[in-house]
Amino acid sequence: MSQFNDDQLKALLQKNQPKAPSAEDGEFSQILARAKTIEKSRFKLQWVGLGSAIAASFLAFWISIQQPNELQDIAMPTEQISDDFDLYNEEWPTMDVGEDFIELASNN
Amino acid sequence: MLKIPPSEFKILYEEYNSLVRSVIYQIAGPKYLNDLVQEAFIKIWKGLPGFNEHSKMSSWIYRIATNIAIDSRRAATRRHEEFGYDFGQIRDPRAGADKELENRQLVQQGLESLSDDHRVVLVLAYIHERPLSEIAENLGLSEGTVKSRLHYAKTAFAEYLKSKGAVA
Repeated sequence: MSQFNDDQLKALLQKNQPKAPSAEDGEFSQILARAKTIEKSRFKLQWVGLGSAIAASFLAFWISIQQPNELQDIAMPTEQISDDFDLYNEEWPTMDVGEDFIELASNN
Repeated sequence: MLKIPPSEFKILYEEYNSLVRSVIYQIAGPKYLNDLVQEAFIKIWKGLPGFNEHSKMSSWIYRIATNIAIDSRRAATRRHEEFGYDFGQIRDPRAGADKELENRQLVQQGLESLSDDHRVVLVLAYIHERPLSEIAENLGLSEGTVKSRLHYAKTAFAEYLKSKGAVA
């Protein structure tokens, strides 16, 4: 081989290209079997997904019809929150312990 | 249950098997060839129902085979596996075949000596004669990058041949 141009390099590579060993017998059957397995698992997965979605919807519906009052109570409290400041104006008990206690303390 | 009837898939397999095999072998080497060919046809089978541009079928199949081969090489590089063709496949018992055998070994060793990036473009552009625009699209590169890689690949390949005394 001497110095070559693009076409000669192409010809050299094509003529002497690495040749892959031929396919094993039954290669297509193996591919087909794998394809079928994948298809089956995809099919199963679709049904499992659909079943889960139905079950989740049913559960949500069941919860909503079983506990309407509790849910309503949470949403709408019956006791109104008071903003009445009269509470602070009430007379609170004082710390008056009385004469008896003072006497008792001084005796001890 | 299969979306593609097995008879149709078999026709496709027979038509493209040698192409897929050859691309994967030349880019990724012999080590996982059978597994990778199977993987490529599974991908083809999965993608086929949505594929309606039959004029671009070979281009699409080249893309699948090339990307599978590249992914395999990347994984092999991470595992520090050497690239190497199987020279056991190229023994030729014909009389006077010594020179041919020598050339084939030289070409194979020259391809082996290239980086993965350079080998991919040289194989696709020169052995399979794919257009640069298609190679660029399939590899997710610009056409300029592919041209540049091809230039360096040719230079490196020629250097290898020169180092072996095959060219002046």
